[in-house]
Amino acid sequence: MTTPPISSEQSSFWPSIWTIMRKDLRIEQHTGQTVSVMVMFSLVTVIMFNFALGTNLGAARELSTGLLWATILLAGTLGLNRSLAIEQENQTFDALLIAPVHRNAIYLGKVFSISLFTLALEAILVVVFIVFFDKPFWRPPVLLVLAMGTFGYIAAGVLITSMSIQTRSRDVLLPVLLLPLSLPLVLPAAMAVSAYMFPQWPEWSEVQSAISLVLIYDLLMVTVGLFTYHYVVEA
Amino acid sequence: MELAKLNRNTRILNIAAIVVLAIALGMIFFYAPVEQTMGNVQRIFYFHVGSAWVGSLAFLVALVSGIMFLRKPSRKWDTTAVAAVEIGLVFLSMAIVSGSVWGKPAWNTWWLWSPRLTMVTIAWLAYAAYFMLRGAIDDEERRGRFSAVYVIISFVTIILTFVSIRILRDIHPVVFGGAMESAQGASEGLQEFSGLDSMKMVITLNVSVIAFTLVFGAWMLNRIRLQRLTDETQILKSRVAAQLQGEV
Amino acid sequence: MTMTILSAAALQISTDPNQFNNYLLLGYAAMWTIGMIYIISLALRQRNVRRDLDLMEQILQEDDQTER
Repeated sequence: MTTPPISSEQSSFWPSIWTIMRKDLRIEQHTGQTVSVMVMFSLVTVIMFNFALGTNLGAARELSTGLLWATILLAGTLGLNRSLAIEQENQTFDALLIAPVHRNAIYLGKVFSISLFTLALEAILVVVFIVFFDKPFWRPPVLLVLAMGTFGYIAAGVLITSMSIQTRSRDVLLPVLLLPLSLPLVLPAAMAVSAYMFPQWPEWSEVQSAISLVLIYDLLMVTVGLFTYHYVVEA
Repeated sequence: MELAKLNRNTRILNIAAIVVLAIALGMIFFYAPVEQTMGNVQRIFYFHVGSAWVGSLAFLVALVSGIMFLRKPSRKWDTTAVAAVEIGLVFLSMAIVSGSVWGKPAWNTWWLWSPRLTMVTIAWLAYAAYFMLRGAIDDEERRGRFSAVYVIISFVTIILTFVSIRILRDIHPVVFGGAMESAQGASEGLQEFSGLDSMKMVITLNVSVIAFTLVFGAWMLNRIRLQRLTDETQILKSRVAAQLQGEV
Repeated sequence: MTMTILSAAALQISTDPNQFNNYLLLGYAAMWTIGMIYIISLALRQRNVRRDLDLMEQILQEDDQTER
C-alpha cells in the first residue's frame, strides 16, 4: 500500500522542507499568481461588506475582527486551491512523490509556504483594516494570534485540499469541508483579537483561554496532518 | 460476522434497546423527582444528556474505524465508519433540538451563540460534510481512505468542544465525566437538593445513558446489515448487467 | 446575564412545576420524531434493498434456467 520511507529521507527531512518552500516561493516570485489573487479577493470582499453594512460605521467597526477572520478564511481557500492545483496540473506533484522525499516533509513544506503567502496577505489586510475601521490591529499580540491562527488553519487546509482536489467536485468541495473545521479556530482567535481592540490592553487572564485554544487547535491539526498526509497522497 | 449471526444479534439488541428505553422513560417521568426551580420541563435533561453523550461516543467509534481502516483497508471498517457518522449525526441533532427546546423556558431564548452551542453546531456541519466528501469520490478505495482521514480530522472538533467548555465561561451547565457530576451540573445554579433526590437523578440519568447506548448499538447493527445487503445487491447487479451484455 | 437567570429562577421557586410542560412535551416529541425519521429511513432503505436483491436473484435464476 505505502512504501516505507527509506533512510535517506530521514536525514534530509528538514532540508527537504526548506527546498519545497523555496520552490514554492520562487514560483510565486515569478508568476505572482497566488498572493495577488488572494489580495484582490480580500479587498473586494471587504468593500462588499462595507456596502452591506451601509453607512453604519459603528456596526462595521464592531464586526471588524470577525470580518478580518472571515476574509482570511475565504482568501485562504483560494490560496490553498491555487497552490495545490498548480502542482497537480503540471504533474510536478507526481515527480515530488517519486523522489525520495518524506511525505511529511512535503506536507510541512506546503504548510509553511502557503502560510507565508497567507501571512503576506494578512500584512496587507491589517493595514487596510486599520485604515478602514480605525482599530488597533497593529498591536503585537494581535499579529501573534493572526500568525498562530493562520498556521493552524493552513495545516488543516493542506490536508483537506489535498483530498478535495482529487475528487469530482474539486474547488467547490473545499469550503464545504474546510470552513466548518476552521471554526473551532476562528472562534477563540476572534475572541482573542477582539480583546485587544479596546484602548486598554486586556489582562493575560482574560485572553489566556482563547489563546490556549488557538494553540491546542494548531497542535491537534498539525499532528493529524503529520499522521494522515501520506494516506492522502499515495497513488 | 456472517449474516445469520448479524441478524440474530441485531434482533437481540433491538429488543434490549426498546426494553431499557421503556424503563428509562418510566423512570424519567415517575421515579425522578420534580426539579424545584423549573419544574417538570427539566426532565428533558435525561434524554438531552443521553443523546449528547452517545453522539460523542458514535463519533469516537467513527474515529477508531477510520484509524483501523487506514492501518488495514477493509470494507468492514468503512461501513462501520459510515454507520457511526450517520447515527452520530442523528443523536447530535436530537441533542441540539432538545437543548434548544429546554433553553427556551430556562434562558428565555431558543438559541444562543455561546461557545458550547456554537461548537456543537460546527461538529454537526463537519460530520454532515462527510457525506458530501463521500458523494464526490467514485473510486471505492479512495473513498474509504479519504473518509477515514476526514473522520479523524473531524474528531478534533469534538475534542475542542469538550476542551472549550472547560476553558471558556459559558451559560451552558458544565457536565463532567461521571453521572454524579452530571446531576450536580444540573442542580448547580438551579437549587439545592437533598442527597436522596440527587441520587434519584443520577440513577435516572445513568439508565437513560445505558438506554441510548443500546439504541446506538441496535442502530449500528441495523445500519451495518443494511450496507452488507446493499453491497451484495451491487455485486448481483453487476453480474446481471454483465450477463445481459453477454446476451446482446 | 447569570444574575438575571438566577434571580429569575429564584422568583420561580414558589410557582407551578407544571408551567413549562408544553416545552417538555415539545422536547420529547421533537426527539422522538427525529429518531422515528431515522428508523423509518432505515426500514425503507432495507425494504428497497431486499426488493432489489430478490429481483436480481430472480433474474439470475431465470437466466440459469433458460440456459439449461
